[in-house]
Amino acid sequence: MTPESDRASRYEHLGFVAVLGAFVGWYLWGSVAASPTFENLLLVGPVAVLGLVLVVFIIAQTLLRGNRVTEAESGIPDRMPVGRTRDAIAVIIAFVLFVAALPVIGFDLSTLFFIAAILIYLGERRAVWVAGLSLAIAVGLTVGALATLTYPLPTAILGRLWGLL
Amino acid sequence: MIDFHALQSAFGILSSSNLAWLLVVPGVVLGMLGGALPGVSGALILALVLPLTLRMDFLPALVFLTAIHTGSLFGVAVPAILMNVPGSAAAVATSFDGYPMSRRGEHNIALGLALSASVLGHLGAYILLFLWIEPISHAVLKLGPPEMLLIMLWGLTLIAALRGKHMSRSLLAGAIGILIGTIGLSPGGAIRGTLGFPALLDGVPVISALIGLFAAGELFNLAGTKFLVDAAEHRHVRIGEIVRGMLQALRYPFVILRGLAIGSTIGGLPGVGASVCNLISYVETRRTDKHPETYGTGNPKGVVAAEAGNASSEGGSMATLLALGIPGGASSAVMLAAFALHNINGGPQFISKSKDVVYAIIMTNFANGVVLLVLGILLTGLMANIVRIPVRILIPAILALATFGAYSFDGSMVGPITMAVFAVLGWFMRRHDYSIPACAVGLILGKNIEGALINCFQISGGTIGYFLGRPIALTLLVLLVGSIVYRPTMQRLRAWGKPVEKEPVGC
Repeated sequence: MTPESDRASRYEHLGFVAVLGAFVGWYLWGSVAASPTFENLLLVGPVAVLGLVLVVFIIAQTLLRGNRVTEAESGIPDRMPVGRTRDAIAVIIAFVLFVAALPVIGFDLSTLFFIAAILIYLGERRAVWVAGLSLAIAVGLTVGALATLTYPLPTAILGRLWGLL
Repeated sequence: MIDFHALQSAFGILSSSNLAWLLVVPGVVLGMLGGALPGVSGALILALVLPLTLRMDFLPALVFLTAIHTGSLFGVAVPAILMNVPGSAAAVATSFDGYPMSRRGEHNIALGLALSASVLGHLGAYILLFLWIEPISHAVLKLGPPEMLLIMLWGLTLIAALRGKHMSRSLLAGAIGILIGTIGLSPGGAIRGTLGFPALLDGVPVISALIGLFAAGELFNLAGTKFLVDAAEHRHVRIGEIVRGMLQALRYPFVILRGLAIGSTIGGLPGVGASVCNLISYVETRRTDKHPETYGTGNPKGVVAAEAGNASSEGGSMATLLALGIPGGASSAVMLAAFALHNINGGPQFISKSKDVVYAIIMTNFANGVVLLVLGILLTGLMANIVRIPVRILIPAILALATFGAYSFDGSMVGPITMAVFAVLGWFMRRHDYSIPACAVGLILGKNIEGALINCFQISGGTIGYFLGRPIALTLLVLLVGSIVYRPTMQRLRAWGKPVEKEPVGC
């Protein structure tokens, strides 16, 4: 790891711990505001205080020692090799858009576009494969859900076709 | 201990009910396939097929449901091992070592280990149930909130055991998990952390959150790689290796026996279920092992312990269901509904008056175990082919499948949104070495621990003497403390007597 990437990783980690700390603080504050009774805070109070202490400790540790602990220091093997961060972020964005689109354009179309987009992004160049796989998975999952679920499933096309059968 | 007259009568019932036997195979297959779908829990499949049992007699109906349950308890291990997707909370601990084994190309062995442990755990638990149905029914009645609290706390000690490279980050992950687990309406009626969403009043949907934390987070990390198993020569499916894994599990009899003891006793506690047994069996095996640091990196004993624990919990929960008419978990709650559909009330009356039916149910579950063994080898071989599918296809397909699964719980967008939020959280946690299993344990146990804690506090008035006056609670407390301090104490005692080795000069 280069010094630049180590610094970037450290700042990213500090940001992440700060978000966790903000969540713990907000949750403790909200719990006290909801009901400041002993019973309501019996578990949440001590756990949240412990969480905040740990956040402060981790921030101090990261500032003083950096972000990484080597395998030799921890005695625990490193994680398995992973893909590139850029690819992971692209998939995360696509997934969040997919979930957001579900109630808007329906499960069938969202799934079709999501599968096709990821396949193309991750290197599938055969158009027939992209179209065939996306269609097969989207239709298979949507029809399976329509056949088994007792709840209404938002769809653009397949729900109407299913209703005609 | 065994009522031979009732046993003889049970044989008579079973020989005259061909339908019960015929339903064992489809039940186990349905359970395995359903359990292997991320987000589709055993309870969901049971609920879906419950209307089908309306036209059946009581015994075939219950045999069908227990066969599905047996199949699903193993089925959930398959995606946990192959894709790090715990099909349900009952397979969370299975993924800790099963998935690293898969990434090393040992997926066949890991599946074999899980299958063997599941079958042995299942059969062992039903043998115990066969022998001990009456004493168990009396013992379960003596357990109250303090005992439940201690069992939950036992599960919570897993957070410290599941530390990654940083103890502080793992503890924080566990604390975050506990806090998220308590979101919603508290036992005292206060509304916490719902952000005004009524859907969160019942709490964060745990399975959707677990799928997000484990599966989606991991899938994001895989983006850019070619296959789940990097080396092409390891990317194969061999029935022979699955069988080898099954035989390898027999090398760890004490791990299986420990899982069996934990699953069949703790699994019998109302509201505890397979997920807690899975976790406690894993943590106890890890804690008592000479090399606890190897757990989480693909230790076969981790897979065996987790699967033996969850499979044997079925026998325990069935004991409670039959003896007391109280469900041990979501699946047994659906089975209790089957009781009601047939106008039968489980409980001491049922046990005493219909002991022959109870024995018949237990014996068909022996058949379930044998069927699981045979079908497990064949179907697991088919399912293991997933390692041959390119990651660029797996990522969108599994994410879409899991999203449909998350939606299916209550037909609202709460499940998919929860999954997406926890997927992003899981990805960041992985990036910075926060223990995801520790967060999952907190999430699973948070609400239960709070409930048990408040019950204890209200009953005892805050005095510790209440615990000391209950022999079972005291025994559990001693076991809990003992299991935590035994190993470090022994290590220190051993180190005390050894001479200190001098470090070589220049190193």
